[in-house]
Amino acid sequence: MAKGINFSPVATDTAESMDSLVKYILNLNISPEEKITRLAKSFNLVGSDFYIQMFEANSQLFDSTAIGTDYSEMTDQIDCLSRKIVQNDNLGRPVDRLTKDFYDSALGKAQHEAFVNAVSLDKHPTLTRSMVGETCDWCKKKAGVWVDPDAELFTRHADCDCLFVTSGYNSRNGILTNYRKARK
Amino acid sequence: MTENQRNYLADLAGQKGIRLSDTDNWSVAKASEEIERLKEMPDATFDEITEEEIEQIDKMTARTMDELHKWGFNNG
Repeated sequence: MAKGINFSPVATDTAESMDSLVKYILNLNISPEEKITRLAKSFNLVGSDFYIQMFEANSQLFDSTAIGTDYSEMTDQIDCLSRKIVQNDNLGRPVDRLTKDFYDSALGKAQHEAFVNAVSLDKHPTLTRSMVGETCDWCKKKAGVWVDPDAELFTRHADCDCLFVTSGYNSRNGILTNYRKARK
Repeated sequence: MTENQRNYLADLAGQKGIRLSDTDNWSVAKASEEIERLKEMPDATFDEITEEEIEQIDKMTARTMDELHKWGFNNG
């Protein structure tokens, strides 16, 4: 089996990039509803792109690209996220963690869907979920090497720093930057 | 404060155009007091979003998507 890949840095990069946009919208003197609408629109656009990219990356890794994604817009989740961001901002609470949690969650869903497809094609990828330092009982129960993991194993609690590594057949030597497109 | 109070307070603050601070450890009593204070205030007047602002949002969204597309996840 090829070396595993941790795709979380892509979620982190995307969340950080979205944070500037979120801050820009929150600082406009527009109504809270308008802020929610604008946030939701951007999260929808970037979220769907992110999901599909992560699904395709994992399908390639699992050698299951023959099956496409059933992706349907995460509209409810995004509306809820956008409202929560505006509410947290009104309360003077940080909002960056919400954005990161959203992309972590989207990554987990995309990976789970790719797993289900791979298993149906009689492939045997694995998810290795490991803890980083001190952690909670909830994470301890989910740590391990999993074949055909259920969706629950991809979930995180707030501020969860567990490491998720997916392994399969084509991981480009397990180095995430090997997925970077060559500069033209 | 309770979750319901937190949501209500957040929406009320937004309606009044107020950004509160240090609300994490507020008690139920403190939150109730703040809710009453905010209710007394007039609603804020907000601007319509401008074309320039929409353009800037679109530009920032496109930039994030461009960054995502720099990964070659879908070309084997």
